[in-house]
Amino acid sequence: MKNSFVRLAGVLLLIGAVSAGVLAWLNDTTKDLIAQNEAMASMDPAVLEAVMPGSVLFKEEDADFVETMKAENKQFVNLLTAVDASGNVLGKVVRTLSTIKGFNGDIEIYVGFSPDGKITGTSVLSHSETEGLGSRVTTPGFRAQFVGKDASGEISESDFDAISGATYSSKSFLSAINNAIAVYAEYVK
Amino acid sequence: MNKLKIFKNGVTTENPILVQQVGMCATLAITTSLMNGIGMGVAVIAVLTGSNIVISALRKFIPDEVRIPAFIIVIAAFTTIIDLLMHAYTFELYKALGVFIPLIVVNCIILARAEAFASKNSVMDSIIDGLGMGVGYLVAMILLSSAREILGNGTILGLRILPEAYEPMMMAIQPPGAFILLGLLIGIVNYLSRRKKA
Repeated sequence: MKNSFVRLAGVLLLIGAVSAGVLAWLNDTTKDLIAQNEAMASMDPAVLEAVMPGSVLFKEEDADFVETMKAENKQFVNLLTAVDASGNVLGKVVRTLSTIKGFNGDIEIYVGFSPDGKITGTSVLSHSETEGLGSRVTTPGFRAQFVGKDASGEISESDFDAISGATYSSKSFLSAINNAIAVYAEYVK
Repeated sequence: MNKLKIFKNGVTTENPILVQQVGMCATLAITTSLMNGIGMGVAVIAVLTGSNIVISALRKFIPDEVRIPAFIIVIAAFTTIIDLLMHAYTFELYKALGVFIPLIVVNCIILARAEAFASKNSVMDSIIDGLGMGVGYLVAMILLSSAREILGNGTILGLRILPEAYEPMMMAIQPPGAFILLGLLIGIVNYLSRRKKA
């Protein structure tokens, strides 16, 4: 009786252990791909298209590298790599806060850079500017003027069209772009 | 038993959906488009054939008293393998099929074939039985899901085949439509098989 009990439990244990082993191995092989799929699904296609046309995902960079950059540049948030559906690298994306405060605080944006050092697009992640006035920095019309600008140097205030009546918000947005250019020039180029 | 007969048994004589009518919840829920139907059918073929192979290979090793938990572990392992692979390689389909992939574990057809066939027959015969039953399941899923997609959306595999003027029959892709169309499908199959006998 006792013997058969041990045998039954032993067989079940063995089957369970082999199954667990196979699943653990498979989980380990697929987990990166699954994480990437989930990350792709969580990105808003409109944001991807605005920042880097043709991209499907912003991939994370090495965490230690990003931490070093954060320590040296207080407003910088993250550096990402934009890739298309077949995994080709399209360029770099800098996520940063503005260095000059807007009307009600910092503006947080994505700035995309092509491999030849031109701005491919921008997108506002968060802001607390006045609705209908300062918030117009988020409109495609305002953001379009930065597309194609060379990232070799800072964009000066005389080189861009501020939104009339929303000078603080416009300048704050420009400072975020310039911080992204500074990060790009120092760490990526 | 004759190999061809085992295969035919699963596809027609004892078709899991149209004749045995087991594992209905996934069948009714996900057949809203042909792509979903094919995806689910292929997933079931993989799990059914895989578990049949392992269970028939282990049939002398597994003691009778613990055979059900042993079968369930094997079936659950194969389902999880398919779940992980689909999550990694066919993400869109995985999203569309949702919870019904892990629920293959409790699909009665898998345990039924393990108990009724794989635990009593050779590995080769069990492979053929798994493929036959799986193909039978897939064929039924294709019939039901194409009927629902054409009637309810005017498309097949996302391609428009009915003119724009066609007003989609919304009910076809909603749950009541699934019951009605499946009933009609079973009726047609019964009619045809009786006429053949007569």
